[in-house]
Amino acid sequence: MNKPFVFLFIALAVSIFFCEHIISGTVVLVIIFIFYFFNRKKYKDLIYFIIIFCVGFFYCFFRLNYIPPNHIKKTNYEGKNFFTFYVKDAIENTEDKIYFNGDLISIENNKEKFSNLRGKIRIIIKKNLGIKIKYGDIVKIKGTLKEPEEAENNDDFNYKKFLKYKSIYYIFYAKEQDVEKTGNKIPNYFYYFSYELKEKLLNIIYSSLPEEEAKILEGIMLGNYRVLPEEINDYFKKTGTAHILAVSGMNVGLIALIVFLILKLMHFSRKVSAFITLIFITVFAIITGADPSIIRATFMAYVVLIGYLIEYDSDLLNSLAIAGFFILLFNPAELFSVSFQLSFLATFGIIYYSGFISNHFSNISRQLSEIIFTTFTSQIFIIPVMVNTFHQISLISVVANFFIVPISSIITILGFILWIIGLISHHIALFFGASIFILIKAMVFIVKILSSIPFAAISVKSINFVFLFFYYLFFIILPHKDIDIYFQNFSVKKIIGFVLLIIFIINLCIYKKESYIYFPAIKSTAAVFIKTKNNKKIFLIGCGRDKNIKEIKNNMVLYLKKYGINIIDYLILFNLKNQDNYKIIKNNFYIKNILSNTYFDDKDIKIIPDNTNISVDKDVFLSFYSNYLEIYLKNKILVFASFLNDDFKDSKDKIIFPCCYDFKTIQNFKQNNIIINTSLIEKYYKIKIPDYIWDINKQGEKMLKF
Amino acid sequence: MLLSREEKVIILIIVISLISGCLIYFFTSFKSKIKKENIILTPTYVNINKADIDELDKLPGIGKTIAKRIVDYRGKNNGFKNIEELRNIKGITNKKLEKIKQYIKIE
Repeated sequence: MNKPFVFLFIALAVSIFFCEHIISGTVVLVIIFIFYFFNRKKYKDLIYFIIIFCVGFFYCFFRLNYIPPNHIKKTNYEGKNFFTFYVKDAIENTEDKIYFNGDLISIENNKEKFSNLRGKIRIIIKKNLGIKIKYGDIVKIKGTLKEPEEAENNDDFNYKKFLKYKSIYYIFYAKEQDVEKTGNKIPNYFYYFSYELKEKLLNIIYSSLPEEEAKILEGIMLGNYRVLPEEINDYFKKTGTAHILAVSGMNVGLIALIVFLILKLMHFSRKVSAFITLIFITVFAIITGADPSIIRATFMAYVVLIGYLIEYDSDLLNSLAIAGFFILLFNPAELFSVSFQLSFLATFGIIYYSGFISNHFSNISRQLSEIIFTTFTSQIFIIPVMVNTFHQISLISVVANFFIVPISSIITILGFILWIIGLISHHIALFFGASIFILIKAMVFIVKILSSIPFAAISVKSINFVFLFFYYLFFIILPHKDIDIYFQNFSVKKIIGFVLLIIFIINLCIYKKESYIYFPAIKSTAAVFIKTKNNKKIFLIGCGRDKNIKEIKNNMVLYLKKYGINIIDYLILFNLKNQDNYKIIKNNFYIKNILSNTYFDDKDIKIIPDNTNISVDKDVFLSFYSNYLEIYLKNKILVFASFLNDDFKDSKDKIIFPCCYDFKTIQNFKQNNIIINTSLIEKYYKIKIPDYIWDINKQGEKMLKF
Repeated sequence: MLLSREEKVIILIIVISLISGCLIYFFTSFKSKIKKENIILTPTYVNINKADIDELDKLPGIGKTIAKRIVDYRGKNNGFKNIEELRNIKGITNKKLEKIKQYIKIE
């Protein structure tokens, strides 16, 4: 066993996967047993595998399901009260909110105090005063404790599960004026100094660059993409370059290189330099929030640097496995985090294919091939995760990375120098700030241009487990010439590759000759998506609150992408007031026609007067009226109404989707053809809606065939 | 001292960016775009000699009534000379003052 940690990592990862997904996990186990059946010489390895698997399974089961008896989760506590927390984690600051995880110390109301309850809680504080919460603070806050909500639509990002994997079962909401600092006790001084340093480094960034560019530099240097405007984030996502906004191996590698260089210029010995670099990258990992991608890079750097210290050449794949093994040992649930998956798969792809590429493309210049093939091989391995999580892939990522990676590398180098100089002299730091400013401007300009190319990124439907298995199998055996079976001169390997490509294209292009109406479960927004038999797509969005941009961005766009939607034939804006709401849809899809019944300052939007009929497809047409919109769909009529009134009482043959309704009126409707979204009207949120009415907010998304 | 190719490139990048940074700093509008130092992390204190009722209302434990009393007091006494003077206002206890001290300033 020349790569022991690779074996350990695989065994542990399989046991964790089995622990959460028993059916798929069993399939993986069967495949592993078949592999050992054909490699009987390795039966000893199988025994080791079974031992690690069993230990891993029980450990994972315990870690993911055990809740201590004094944990707040056991009480099912919810509501408004005074809570005291101990701040033992990093604090994230955005423009309007403060986020951190707090350890519960006590809960009190006017009558009693509970000091025996424990648990980690996600705290979100709305800013308005500028209070400075620090690591080690003990804070008493008046606020509301709530359980996180489940995903609204099938396949949506499940925040509740995401937090559960971090042993967090509650979210606590409060306003800044309700926060009172009651004490301070530093739990770990190394962490404390790292967070203090982070604050100083942030100060240097924001005092050396204009605010907009400073936010981007914060993203590149510290991985805090939350501070970036949505628009900029989108440019990077569309061009497949969003990874530069997450701190990764590149940052760690460059920082290690600069530290090494500085120490070399100061005549430090190689071993001392390696030791000091180890400290630097550890501090860097802490201040960047210890995300799996940064921990992975830090662990790998540890292995290389310790190799220097003990004069031992490390194997890259084994180093990657060491990082993975320890991350999973610390928290088994990280296996299901997208950050972990993307980071490990991308790095695995680069390491695994490095030999194959240097053998086959040795005639291309080193730097050029490095950027192209690093992007290409990493993309191959992360595409399935990107598709199943974000339902989007970038078609121009190789080209975009070719331009962006060198610029972001230079920015990282200069950013680090800016930090060092900024600690000494603010005035000299400004000169570096000026250079970084120009580079960031250039980088944003390039991603903006590239992202405006039509179909720079396309939506792709989720990939199933079988496809996933053969996809990875194909790319794992591809570089090995000796692994192949020939069937009448046809290479089975090539056939698998060809079949996978065909299935992928079919998944992209072929559609079912059926017509559907979808009512997505999206908070504070009324939306309907219609797909006709001839694959015409109509997306209707209307009413709702004016400030529901985030809901549209995080849920509606993802919802459409999940169904592989790239083109929308008709986007209908009904009584929609906020222009930003529709701009998000426009930025993410190719829209052929935009119709609106209200005025918009956009020449692409056609304003439709009342009492107008528009034909969309053979059996589908729209009728615009002052307070409602009727959509005729072959054998069904959908009414999208601003307000539910008694006029619709006799329309039993129609499906009625009102934005607003009166509680008394809704009780008078005894038919089951009404679909509502109670999240549109907050004050009716707690009122009981008759069972025969489908409430999207409570019962989830609704789909009808017509 | 022997430097590797990568190390030479890094030194070159730093030197070039320092020179070009000087040029950008002195000959473009870059300087004017930089905001005051520490802009992000400095808490936005409430100046009790200038804040209006709405601003004072944001302070923990201070409602509209006490906020109005603060405004009245400073009008009669030509403003606050020190934070401790807040004790003279009805409704501001020692405990409350300790709580709001971290958010207020006098200018």
